[in-house]
Parts: sequence; C-alpha cells; structure tokens
Amino acid sequence: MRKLFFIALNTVALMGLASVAFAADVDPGTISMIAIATALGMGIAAFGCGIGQGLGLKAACEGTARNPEASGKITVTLLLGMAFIESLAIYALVVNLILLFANPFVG
Amino acid sequence: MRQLGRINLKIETFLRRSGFHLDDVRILVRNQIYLFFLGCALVVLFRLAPWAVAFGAGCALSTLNFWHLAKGLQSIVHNPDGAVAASLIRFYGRLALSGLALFGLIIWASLPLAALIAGLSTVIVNILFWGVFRFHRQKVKEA
Repeated sequence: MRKLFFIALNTVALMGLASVAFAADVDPGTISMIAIATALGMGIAAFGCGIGQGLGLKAACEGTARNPEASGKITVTLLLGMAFIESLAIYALVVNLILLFANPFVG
Repeated sequence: MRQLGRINLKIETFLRRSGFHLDDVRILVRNQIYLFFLGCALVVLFRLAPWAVAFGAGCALSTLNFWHLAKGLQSIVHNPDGAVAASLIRFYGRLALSGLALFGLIIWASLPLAALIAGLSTVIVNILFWGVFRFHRQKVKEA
C-alpha cells in the first residue's frame, strides 16, 4: 500500500511538473505524451526496483536467521545487489528527468 | 607501493571507526572513495570544465549513496532491534536528496549528461573490478 502510494505521488508530481516545464510553443499532445511516458517509465522502474530490493532483503534476512555465521558474506552480496538495483533506479530517474526537462527532441 | 598500502590502512582504519565492520564492504567503500578523489582531481586538473564538474558531481553522488547504503545494510542485517523506522527514513531521505541533486545538476546547472552518467556509474565499475580481482585471486589460490 505504501509503495503504491509513493508511486502514485511520484506520478502526480512528475505530471504536474511537466506542464510547468514546457513552453506553450510545443504541441500539447506531445507534452502530454511525454508526461505519460515519463510517469509510466518512473512507475515501472520504481515497481521493478522495489520488488527486486524487497526480494533481496527478504532472502538476506532469512539466510542470516538460518545461518548467522554466514551473515558477513550475505551482507556483502546483498550490498552488491542493492547497489546494482539502486543504480538502475537512478538511471531511470535521470532518463525521466531528461525526457521531462532536457528533452533533445522537443524545442 | 608501500605508500599506497599505508594510505589504504589509514582509510580502512577510519572506515572501521565509522562502523564498517566487514572487510569486503570496507574495501569496496575504500575503492569508491578513491574514485571520488579521482573525480575531484579531474575537476581541479581541468579547471572546472563542465564535463569534469559533471563527472565529479556524479562521483560524489554515487559515493554518498554507496556509503549510506553500505552502512545502512550492515545495521539492518546485524541490528537485533530491527530499526525499521530509522532505515525507512534514511532510505527515503537519501532517495529524495539524490533526486533533488540530480534535478539541480540536470536542469539548473545543465551539465553534460554523458559525463554525469559516467560519474554515477563509478559504483558499478568499482563493483565489477572488485569482483573480477576477487575471482582472479580465488583462481590463483586454487591453482
């Protein structure tokens, strides 16, 4: 529920900012399509990264609970996985920011 | 070479004091700090050229993120009390700050995007190199 709330909030914020960002000389249809694409892109990225991070953390906690001696190795592997997943989310954010505010194909 | 070893030792002692108890995590964070210093050196060497600033900013952002991620994960896995609320606040705070920083860098500062993404990718490069060296060392030990 909390994840859904954050995704919805993110989508609304991005769509709200999109209208402010673009000047009126761009076709409104294009602006709305870009806003929808950005919202969908960020939503899908957050959804996938959230599921991935949740599954990784769940497995790490289970592994540590079953075998506390292996917690060091598990934590390192978890850290690597989390860093990769978080990088993907940050890339998605950068691409969406470019689409919204620094789109090379608009204006 | 000996000088580098001393610097490594100093940084690792500092990291141990800061709460990084696992050796591998400490090495990863140490290497990321080196990459951050590389970004800073490029900024100074190229006298605030936009691409160098973008790379340095990307390095700084990814280093900060990685530092807090590593520290947070250790506390999540090893803390017997759980500390769920603190972890959540830390995670979303970091995410919001990263988003704001990227917004500022891309829209207000209009920095070169390729260099910024290269700076953000230093964590991936760090982890990949660490994995390759570790794999190589393991193979050498087995042989």
